[in-house]
Amino acid sequence: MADLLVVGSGASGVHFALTALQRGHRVTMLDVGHPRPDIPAPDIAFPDLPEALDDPAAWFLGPGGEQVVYPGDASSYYGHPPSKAYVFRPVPGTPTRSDAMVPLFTFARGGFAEAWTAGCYAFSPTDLTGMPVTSEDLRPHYQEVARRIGIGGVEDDLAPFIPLDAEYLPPLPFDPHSAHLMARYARRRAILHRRHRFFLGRSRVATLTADRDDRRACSQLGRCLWGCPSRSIYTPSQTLERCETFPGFRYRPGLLVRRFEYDGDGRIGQVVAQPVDGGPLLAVAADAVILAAGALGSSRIVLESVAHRTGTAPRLEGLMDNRQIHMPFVTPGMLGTAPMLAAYQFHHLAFAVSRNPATDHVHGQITTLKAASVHPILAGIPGDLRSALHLFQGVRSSLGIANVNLHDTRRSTSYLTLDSTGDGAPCLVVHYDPAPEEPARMAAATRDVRRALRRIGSWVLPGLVRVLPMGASVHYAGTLPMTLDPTPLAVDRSCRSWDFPNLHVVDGAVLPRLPAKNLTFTLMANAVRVATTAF
Amino acid sequence: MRDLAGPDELLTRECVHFCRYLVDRAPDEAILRTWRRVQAHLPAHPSDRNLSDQWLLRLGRRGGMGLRLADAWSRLFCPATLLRRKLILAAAVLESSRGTAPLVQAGPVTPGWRALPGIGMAGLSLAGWTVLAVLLLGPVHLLRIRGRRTVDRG
Repeated sequence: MADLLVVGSGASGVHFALTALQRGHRVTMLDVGHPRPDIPAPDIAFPDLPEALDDPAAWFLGPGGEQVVYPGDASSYYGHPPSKAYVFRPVPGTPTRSDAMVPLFTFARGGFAEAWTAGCYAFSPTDLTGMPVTSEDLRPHYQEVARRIGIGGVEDDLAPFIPLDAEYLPPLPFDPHSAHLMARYARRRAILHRRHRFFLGRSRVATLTADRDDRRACSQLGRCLWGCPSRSIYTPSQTLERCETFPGFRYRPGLLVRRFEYDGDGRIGQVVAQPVDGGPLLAVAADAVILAAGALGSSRIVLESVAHRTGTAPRLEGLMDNRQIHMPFVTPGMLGTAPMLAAYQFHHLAFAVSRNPATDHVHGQITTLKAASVHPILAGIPGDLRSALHLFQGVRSSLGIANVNLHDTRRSTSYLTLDSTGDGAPCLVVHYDPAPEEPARMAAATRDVRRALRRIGSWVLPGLVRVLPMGASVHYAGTLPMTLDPTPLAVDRSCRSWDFPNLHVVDGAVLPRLPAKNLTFTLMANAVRVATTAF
Repeated sequence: MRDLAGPDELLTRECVHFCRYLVDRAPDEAILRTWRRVQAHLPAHPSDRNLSDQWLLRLGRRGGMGLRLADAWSRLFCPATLLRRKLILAAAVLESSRGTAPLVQAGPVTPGWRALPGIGMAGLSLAGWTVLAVLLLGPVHLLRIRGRRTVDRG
């Protein structure tokens, strides 16, 4: 049985660790691990929260109103609430410089998926084209992750794009607006398939519809964005708690791993970490190191390790992310219905627009407006705020947003490297170069989704479509890719480094291409695969 | 139109006017406390020292029709003006506060297609105040720019 050192407690790290522990290995997990604050008034629904909280404005907006979204400073229609600020809280000693991309970092216990919208979309055989792993390789591990976290979904028109290879829970009940859209789609299905190549179905989400252990079924409190008080929405910190029940597991928060140190054969002897609250660097010995700090975090560690030994930082090429487009819409058929303020807040519907070649398909989610911070929406309405408020209240129940994802491919012109010329810690340089054909793909996707939504009775609001800055989707990938043949600064199909024989990488860095969908489910399944097959 | 009120008094007055403007209700003590607290975190903007922005804020602080016109003008021509940011902040505070949250989060619901006249009225009001703001504040704005140029030339 090996002593495994896992770096990072995100979705990949905790599922790797749990599998390794179940197989009898000892696991030490090093992590910065900002903890989640307590969730107040856990049984109170969103509309009643202002009455129930001592200082509701501080809870919703931050003590000084830090989370208010002002005109001109938002590329999104919602900001992260103060209760999720811990997910994005930085740590000293991680300077970053970027162009054409706004990278986000997390040092939270549980990683980015502590603030996700729970979408679980298995990669199809088409999505895995050109990758060293196949659907057959991943299938049993998708099934294992689905058993662990609980995913709702049904066999529907999305099955060719999002395989349903695992056991799924019954999906959440629709809100009236989502039900309306689905009914319209059912009536116009043939023409939507034939003319628009548009396929609609239920989102696959890791949100429980039945109690499981200490997690309760979704009780429709409408507090998803602020942090689910009933733990219905899966987050990796739940799996971390499960890891902590194993005697062979040791969780060491408060440590920022800077680098690993290796000998002439590339064999790692120790990992060097910096205590985040000060103090000298700490060396931790390890038989095997598993990097699961996210594509940017793991890449930074590899870069600092190589730079520390050789004096020069290499380039890690192939950085990818999904470009996202937000398309707000109004559904006239829903006018005059009461807004749903206490309801599951995230998306019920997902869609795919097929393309030729099939690897270029577009994927997205449709979220109807339920509970929300409304001031960013009011700020966007072109008119005085009083009229805007009345107009918004009149149409609120008919509003929604389509979140369109585009795929990405590795290019040598998008890369990570280090700049060590400053006095302090080396600066991570993030350079992203969009694909030349991206503007055409964005225009085509926007046009196709707009037309398809029109067919199901929804009008995209003119002038309000927003292309999010690259980096906003937080689906970073591709900087230490899986390859079949030995390649410097890459990993083999078991995600073992070609350069460092006792190093494995299990996060998004290993993906050699990025389909147009959330990658978290695949990262969890791949981490389980690596823990099962390589150890 | 110079205002000789102290900073605290100005904050209280603008909070009262902004709350009445948005939800037809005067702020309670808790909202006033929140309003004073969040001012420190209102992000600065390059246009804050701009005379035109300060004039719009002074006009807005008087409440009533002037506030609505200044708001409509700001949204159209300079959406990040200090007045506009303060109004967005006021909306954020009101939607998050006891008593006023339901007034922002959910208005009265008229079922079915009978909702349409109300929505139409809100749309017309939005367009109407925007046109009025252009007609009434546009010339004032032009005069102020012209006046400033004359002063600049000495």
